[in-house]
Amino acid sequence: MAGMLIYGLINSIIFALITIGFTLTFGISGIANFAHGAFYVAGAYISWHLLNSLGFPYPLAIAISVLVTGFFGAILYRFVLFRVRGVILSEVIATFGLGIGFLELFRCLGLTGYDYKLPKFVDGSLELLGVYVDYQRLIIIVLGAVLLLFLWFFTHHTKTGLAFRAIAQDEHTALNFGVESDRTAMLSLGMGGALAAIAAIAIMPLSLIAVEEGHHILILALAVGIVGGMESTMGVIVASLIFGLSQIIVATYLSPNYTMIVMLAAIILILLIRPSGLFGKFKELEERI
Amino acid sequence: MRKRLMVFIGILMLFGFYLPSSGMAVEPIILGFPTALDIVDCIHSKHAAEMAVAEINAKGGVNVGGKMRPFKLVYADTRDAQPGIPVREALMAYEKLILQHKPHAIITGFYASEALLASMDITSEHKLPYFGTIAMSPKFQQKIVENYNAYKYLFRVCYDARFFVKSYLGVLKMVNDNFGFTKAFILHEEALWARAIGGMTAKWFKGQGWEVIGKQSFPKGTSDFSASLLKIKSTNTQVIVFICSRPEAVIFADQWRTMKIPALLTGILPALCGETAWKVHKGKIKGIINVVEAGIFPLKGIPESEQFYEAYKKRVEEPPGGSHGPGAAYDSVYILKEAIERAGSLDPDKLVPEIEKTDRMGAIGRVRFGKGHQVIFGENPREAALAICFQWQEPGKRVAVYPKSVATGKIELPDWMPKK
Amino acid sequence: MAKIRREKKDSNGKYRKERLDRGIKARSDTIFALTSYREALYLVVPRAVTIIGLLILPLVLDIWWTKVMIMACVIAILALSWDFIASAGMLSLGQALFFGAGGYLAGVLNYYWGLSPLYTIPIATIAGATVCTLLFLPVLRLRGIYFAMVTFAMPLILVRIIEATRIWGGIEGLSALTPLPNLWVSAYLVIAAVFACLFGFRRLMDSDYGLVLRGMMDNDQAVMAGGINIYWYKAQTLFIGSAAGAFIGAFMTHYYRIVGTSAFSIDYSILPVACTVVGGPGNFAGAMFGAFILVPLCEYLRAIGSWRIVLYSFLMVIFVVAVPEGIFNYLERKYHQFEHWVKTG
Repeated sequence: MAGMLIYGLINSIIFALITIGFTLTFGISGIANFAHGAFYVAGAYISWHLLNSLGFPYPLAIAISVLVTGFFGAILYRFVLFRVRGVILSEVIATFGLGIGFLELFRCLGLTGYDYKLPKFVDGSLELLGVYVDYQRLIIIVLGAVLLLFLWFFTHHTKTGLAFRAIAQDEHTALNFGVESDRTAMLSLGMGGALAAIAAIAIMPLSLIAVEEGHHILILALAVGIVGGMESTMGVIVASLIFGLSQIIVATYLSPNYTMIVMLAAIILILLIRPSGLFGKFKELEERI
Repeated sequence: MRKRLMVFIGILMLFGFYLPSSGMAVEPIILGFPTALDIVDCIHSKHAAEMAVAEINAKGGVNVGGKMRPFKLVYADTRDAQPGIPVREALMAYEKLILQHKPHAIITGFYASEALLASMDITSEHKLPYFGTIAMSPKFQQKIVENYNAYKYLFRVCYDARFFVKSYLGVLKMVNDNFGFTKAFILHEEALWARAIGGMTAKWFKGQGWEVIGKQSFPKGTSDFSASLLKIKSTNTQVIVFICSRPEAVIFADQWRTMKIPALLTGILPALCGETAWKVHKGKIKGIINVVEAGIFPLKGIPESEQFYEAYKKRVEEPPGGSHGPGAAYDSVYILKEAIERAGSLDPDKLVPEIEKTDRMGAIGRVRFGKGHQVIFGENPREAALAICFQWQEPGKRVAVYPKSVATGKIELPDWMPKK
Repeated sequence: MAKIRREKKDSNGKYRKERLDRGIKARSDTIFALTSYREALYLVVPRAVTIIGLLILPLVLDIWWTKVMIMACVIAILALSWDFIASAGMLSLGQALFFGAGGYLAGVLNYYWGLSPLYTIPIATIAGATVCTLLFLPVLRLRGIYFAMVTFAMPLILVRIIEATRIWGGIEGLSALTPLPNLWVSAYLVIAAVFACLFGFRRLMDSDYGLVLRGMMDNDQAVMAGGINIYWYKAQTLFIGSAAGAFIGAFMTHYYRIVGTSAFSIDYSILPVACTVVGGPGNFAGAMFGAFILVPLCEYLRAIGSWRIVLYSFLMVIFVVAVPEGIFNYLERKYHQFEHWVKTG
């Protein structure tokens, strides 16, 4: 029971980490970044290369790959999305096309097989309430909490963060107050990319780096986003907890095979009751006509 | 403007018709190689088949009724290992290969059993001798036995799920003899071959008086196995049977180690099969018992197998990896060569009886075809082809533990498991 | 309307390029004033070339390229269906759902009840469309990106459910189904279907009914204010669009004699969108045009392996960003214009 709760919590935080970059971008710029999965894999792939091909020390490799992935996000906005902003179809196709394109590019560049593994930050495990939990997962908990706190602080107490929120609430008014919409959106995509890379570097050491992860992560982020409400950080946390705990309960008492069904059933249920998600308040009127 | 489109398509199609044909003086025998070229097993099979072709061509080629003709490999990427790729995409790639290059035989073939079964009609329609070395579903032989005349051109050189299980059950029996373990937990990925293996293992357990604590499958993309592992721990399970050809196996093995689950981890985990895995995982895979086909693991005392392994390492500059395929692909080329030379012709209807008569020593042991055109696997490399159970042990060595004819060591329990 | 596009200079002086619409265009892009056979021909030829060309293709192509043509028709129908649904303002990323529903229904009818394709295909078309419409009914209230995301997830849900519950053959799928009589029947069946969708949808959108659909895309609130029940119209649009998708799914089931979870794969959702984007959305001909460019191109480039996926993904992005009107609309515009140099001094 204790084990179930601990691992349920860890899985929830993993869900939240995966999603937070996606919803941050969406909440601020209104762009659903379907290339999120590609950013995720790119973060891990770049740091693997820095570590193994160029021999960088691990912390430096992490820092560089997070920055580079964030930079990619900003470039994606500046050179692609900037031109199609506001046309939903074009935004979706552009991000989706780039996402698949880059994932397949990684595959062509040799990202196949079982050799791509990021090392854990600290190896070993700790006994917690009678269950062994490895340090990497404990680090993920801490990292998740720190990131959420940081985001809260950032959006409430820094000038850029306040500009983010202003744009999210009312673009025209924000423009009147001198907030540049395009600059903010570019920053939001950059941050989304960097957050995806951070999540990847924290989570990937548990597994292998694989192209398929990119597709999988995108579906997870969409699911959490839809249930929680796309633009709400609170929604992400609650939806992640729902998914993390319900999945482990289903895996324990039914079979791991049903975990995906639970998740997708939750999506349909939420859509029927609250199409804008649990915490997606202000979009509700606009989207539900 | 639509006219322009037609012209455009017309030009494209013209290119399609007149793909450059080789200007070799002697017409080569074309070997089609359609497979998922992004999968470790398949990549290594490709290298192995290339090696066999190079060896044969260096010696002058194949004697077809008195005329020496070289082999030539043509490839097609079927991509059937990637999730979300429709089977028709794999079939399109296969049909294109057949219609455009007109191969005389197919080596290795599909990765996914789903695609293999769906493609059997096409293969027999074109009367192509087909040597499967990757997909493992036993439904393959079943279809051949049920409708021999239609499917007689198809053969399988690698182990199928049934033979795999047979070898694997041997090691489980050994575990039972050595340690007295009788409680097992089966966990497999949701795929045709894995479910077949899981089912057969469970059936055997029941017949042998073992207790099957649980039998679960998990979907693609599972990232946490703590629910299953906690159950394994709380029920005092002694042996874990884990079947998964995807990277999820690494997550499982890692959680098994860090959660200190007191049970022996056995099964099929291709991600942790190759000689290089120890280095990639920095030795964190100690104690795992894995099953591979001979070829990826050299057979001690069988020169053909040892030579293959050494020659491969020298030519490709890395050891063969994955769980099965390379040895079988290498042998397939030789089986075909010898059958052609015996038949003195490339006529598939004359080749099939000759292929059926095959009896040779190869990289995977002694190769003979049994019922349903499946190579017979057994326990002694002098009598049959072999699957080998090995355990990762210090210092980074794969120690063969079963079958006895090739074993070099004994099973060791993980450090955190109470010794009896 | 004349536009200044380019200028040039030589020893005689300066020139600019003048571009004029042809005289037969009376008022808009769709209404023409014809005064001679020549002008009638001018309009008929492109349409005739398409129809006759497509009818002749199976006769002149070899087996492999005929199969590619069939594949192009399949994707073209999915693209047409996508374009039709998009004309009513619904952005679907789940064409695979229509395809899979039709495919599975035909497979189940044939596998368990032994019905011949003569019955399974029509039944699967109607029943598949009904099922898809019912599944999407709750999401009709959603607009834009939400609708897109839900439709994207829906086929993936069904795959997981089939995998977990192992109904309808589970991951193995249903195989050894009744094949279609021969390649010619298959080829001409899809060609007929492509024509039916292409000209049917075009005619429909030009009618008053189509006007309502276009209205819903431009401003659904205004249509509602006009006393029209937009949900009823949206459901009808979905039904028609998904019927086309379900038909082609059922066709493919019998064509390849198998149906499995891969009928719901993302490929069937994305490739039609890519084709429409490349060809040009909004007028159906573009969607078909795109399919007949991308599918043969994909097959031709098969030799370069995974690189072709990279190529067509990036191609899709380039088109959406740089040529949002699509190739077809661009060419159509050029067809109706002529250019010449005018001396300016």
